[in-house]
Amino acid sequence: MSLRRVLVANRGEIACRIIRACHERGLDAIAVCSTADQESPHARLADQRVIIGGPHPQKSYLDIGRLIDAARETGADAVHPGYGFLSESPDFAEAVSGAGLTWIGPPAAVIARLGSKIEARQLMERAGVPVVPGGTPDDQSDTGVMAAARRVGAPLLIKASAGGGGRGMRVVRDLDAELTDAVQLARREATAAFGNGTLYVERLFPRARHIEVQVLADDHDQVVHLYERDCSLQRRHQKVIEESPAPRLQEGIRRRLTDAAVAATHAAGYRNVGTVEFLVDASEPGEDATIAFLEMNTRLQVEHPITEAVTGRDLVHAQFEIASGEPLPWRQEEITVRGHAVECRVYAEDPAAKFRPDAGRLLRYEEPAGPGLRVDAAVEAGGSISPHYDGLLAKVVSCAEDRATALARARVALARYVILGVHTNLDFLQRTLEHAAVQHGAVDTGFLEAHLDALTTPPEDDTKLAVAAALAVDDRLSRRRLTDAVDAVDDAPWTTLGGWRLT
Amino acid sequence: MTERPHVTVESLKTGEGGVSAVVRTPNRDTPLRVQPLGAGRYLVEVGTRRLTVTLASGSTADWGQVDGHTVRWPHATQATADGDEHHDGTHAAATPATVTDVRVAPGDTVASGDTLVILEAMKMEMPIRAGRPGRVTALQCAVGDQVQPGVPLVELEEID
Repeated sequence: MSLRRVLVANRGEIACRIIRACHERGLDAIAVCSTADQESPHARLADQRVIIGGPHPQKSYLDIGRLIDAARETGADAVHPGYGFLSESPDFAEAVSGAGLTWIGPPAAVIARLGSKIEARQLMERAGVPVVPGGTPDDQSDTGVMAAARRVGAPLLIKASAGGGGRGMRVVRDLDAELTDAVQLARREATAAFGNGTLYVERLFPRARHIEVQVLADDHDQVVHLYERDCSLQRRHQKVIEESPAPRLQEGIRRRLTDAAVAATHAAGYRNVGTVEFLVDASEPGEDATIAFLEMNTRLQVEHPITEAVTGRDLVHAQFEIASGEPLPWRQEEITVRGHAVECRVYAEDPAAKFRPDAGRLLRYEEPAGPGLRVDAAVEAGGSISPHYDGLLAKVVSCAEDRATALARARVALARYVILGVHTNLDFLQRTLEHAAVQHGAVDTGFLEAHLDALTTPPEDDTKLAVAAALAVDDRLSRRRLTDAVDAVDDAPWTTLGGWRLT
Repeated sequence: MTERPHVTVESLKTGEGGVSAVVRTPNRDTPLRVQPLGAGRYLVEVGTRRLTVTLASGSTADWGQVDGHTVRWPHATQATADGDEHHDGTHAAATPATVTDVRVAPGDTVASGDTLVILEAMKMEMPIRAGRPGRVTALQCAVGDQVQPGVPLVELEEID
């Protein structure tokens, strides 16, 4: 079937990115927005916009009924969910298909199967994909889960089957002292967050890398992979900086990862683009390092641009082609990796205040640009950063022939990025890129937490002094423009500026 | 709270090399040269370093950025959510407003929560209340005054 009008059920940078892809394909794009987002870039960029509800996500971007109504009212024939919000909701996928619309993603049954971490784990074990050693106890009583934990041994993780984002997850290092509490706490958290208290157990690898493989599958049983992304730079299970290819990864491990990802994709009966996440044990130096399946993400990832940068393939275009029933646009042997790409996620948050999210009006906004640079953003000067949504302002993606240049290019781009009016993590990102261990390509998922103090130090004195002096001169110049009368004062030596006081 | 340094500008004659300024902090005086580049951008020379500063002013704070490093300075006296009291004991408006009533005089002692001044803006009355007990040391407004955000209206000193 050929698509004509696509409803983009999302907001922010990913909505803009998808709308642009629609336009590139000659498709009409329909944006949905909450009342807080009426003037947002994604609402303006689309051919048509539907205001679907109040600012709270439950009343707008998570309201399946309103989204389906919006698609019907505007004559859409397809829905792209983006990432986050309802992108991994089997109910939404089912509702879209049930309304006779094309869902740009895997079928609802596949989303549901992989959304249950226990079911996904069992599926992968049967398919011969290595999984993290652990247990999925049939006896879900506290004693049943604890018995499974004792068989696995410490250190271990108690995880929620319906989980994600670190919720419903507990670390146990001492079985006798911590296990009982951990099981009960994980159960309570999982029940509260997901309405499902089913738990399982995994061995904890103290030093692990997070490496994921991008896959694509069509309706004709073809599967290809677009190689890997290293997402080890995380804070509280949130990715901060990602890169492709994974640095210092032996070819043998890369081969095992991509083979396992393709096998997992087949086993899941997967369709459209997806990501298979793996853990790679960083304490083993050789080609035989343990790799283990973590989960499969049934959507476009935030960090997909780095894969696009090194493979030269557009994943959103591919999503549309696959959803239209066309065969995969590329054969595996055509896909090669060239150079190196890095993505930095720019957030509205204050790293110096424990990464407290910040909201407010952007007073000034100037994006960096240049060769090898891509900025995916949906913010602008005068626009507001809403307290209702995720604080991701932009993704700065740099690519170059080699890793060192790609890192340097990202660092310079961040230094040139002007964002004033809300706190950002620009500083934190630059310090992270400059860190010797990151430069060396030798980090595991514990790196950021272990080095937070060094990466969040305040700006140096010269920076503060330069800003103070510039503000004082700026203040004086703007006053002089307002009235000639102060000229005499201005020219007097050692004018002390009013309003400048020690606080 | 970041300390906002005291800045002294020697001359605003924007000749070659820009404006001379001295930034005074409790520990030291730092001479710099500031060259306006237009549109809120300045080239600042600190010793041998040349830094480009980009500025923006908001309603509650000034912002500056150098090489992606951001500095935010709240306006010298910034109203807080309920006490309108800055930590140095001054009280100020949060938005531009008109003074409609002054309830205290210098020397008065006040309790926390006492109304000091009443402002009006956008047809709304906004009482400025004492953030803590104290003695009024200075009154810097009168009925009918138009006041700007951040400008001190009343100063209190702590009483033991």
